[in-house]
Amino acid sequence: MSIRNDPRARPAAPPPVRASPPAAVAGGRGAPSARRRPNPRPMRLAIAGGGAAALSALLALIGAAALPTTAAAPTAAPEPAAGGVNEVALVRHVVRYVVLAPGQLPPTGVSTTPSTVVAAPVAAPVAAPKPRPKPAVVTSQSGRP
Amino acid sequence: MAVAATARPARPKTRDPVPALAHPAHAARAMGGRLGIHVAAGAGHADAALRDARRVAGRVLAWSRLLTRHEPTSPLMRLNDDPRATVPVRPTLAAALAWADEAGRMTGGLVDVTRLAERLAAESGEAQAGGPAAPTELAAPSWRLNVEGPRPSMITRTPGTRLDLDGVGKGWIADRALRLLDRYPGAIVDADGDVAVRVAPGDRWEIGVADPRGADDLLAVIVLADEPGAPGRGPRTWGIATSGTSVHRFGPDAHHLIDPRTGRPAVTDVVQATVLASGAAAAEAFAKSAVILGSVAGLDFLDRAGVAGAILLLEDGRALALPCTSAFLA
Repeated sequence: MSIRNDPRARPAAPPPVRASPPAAVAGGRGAPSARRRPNPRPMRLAIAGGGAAALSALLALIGAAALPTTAAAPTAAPEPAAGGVNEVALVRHVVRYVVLAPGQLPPTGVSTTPSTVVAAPVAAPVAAPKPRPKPAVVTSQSGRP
Repeated sequence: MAVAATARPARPKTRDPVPALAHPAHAARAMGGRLGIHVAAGAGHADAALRDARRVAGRVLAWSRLLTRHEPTSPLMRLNDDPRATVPVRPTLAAALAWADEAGRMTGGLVDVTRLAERLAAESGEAQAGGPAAPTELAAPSWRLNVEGPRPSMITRTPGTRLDLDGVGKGWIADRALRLLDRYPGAIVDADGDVAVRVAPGDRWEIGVADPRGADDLLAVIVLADEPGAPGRGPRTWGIATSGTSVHRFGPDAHHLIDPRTGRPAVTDVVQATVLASGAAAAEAFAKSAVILGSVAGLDFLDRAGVAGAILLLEDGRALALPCTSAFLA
């Protein structure tokens, strides 16, 4: 049996309607005075403008990070405070190589290296050994007198 | 009946005490230089260790007589003088040649034992450093060793190929002699600067790296130890070898390290290279290759080869080490 055709069925509720503010009654006593709605357009324009500015700043940051850097100046580690012990571990970031894109020129005063040169692994200078008894075993070039 | 528990302080966990070790040593002349054998022996075994060190020194002398090019009647020189293309070789010479073949492969052909003629030319002063501006590609080896199948092993050579084991023999002999001392917890065989080391538990050896600019000066001291915090800790075999151009010089631009790409003494900015590796034979091959390649390509080569450490002394007086070396420096 179809519910729709059942006479006992309750009539369908009317579609919900948005509650509208009560109509202003001119000169009516006790009724709240009519308030004018603010014009939303200036606020919408302000929000849109702010969003565009934020997006523009974000894109500018991403673009700057993606572009090759041409300056290779090392960042000097901060000096420890005078008279005190600097307990913060110093981190030194050194830009060793920057590859110039075709057509890109280095800044003035920067030394350049042809790309054909093979970069050697980082080698550390050997400090002179501390004074100590000479070891009994010494490695040397063969045939050394 | 309840038993009251007795409070007992926890015993600190410590390593087993290391037994006291004696370090008897034997020194001799061999292979045109010095031979030193040091043994780390337990208490009460020092006399036996010294006897064994002398016995091993005798074996080293015997091996060196088989492999030398400085004796016209040595098996190596008889092989060089044999006109046949395929010649049988005795086990010790075959084993040394097998290592020479392996060293050539490990170094991309930079260690080449067929350069006797070029080396003799350098020694006579006829060949100076230099060669083509662009080194040529290395040719395939002109000899092949067949150590499998029925003994004796056979070597097949291109006619005219003469072999020289001076550049690979000492490290190989040092490693082989060290194995003869396996019954002792630790030992060192110093074959004229190419050193094979086995560190006993709880023991440490210090090996100086000679500075060729001064008779008794050292560039550095390498510590091989089985101690807490030591790199590669545990009883382990090491090899340290040094090669360079400042001792065997035959003229202003002539030395004994032949660049097989040019057939002449290598043009290099490396005066001396010292390499720490898993064995003296490998260390010797790597050190020689680094000198031939020069500092830039040499350091890159050693880094890729995975050596445990390397110290290079350059012409301009700088001494450079691979970063991994610092863990072994005193």
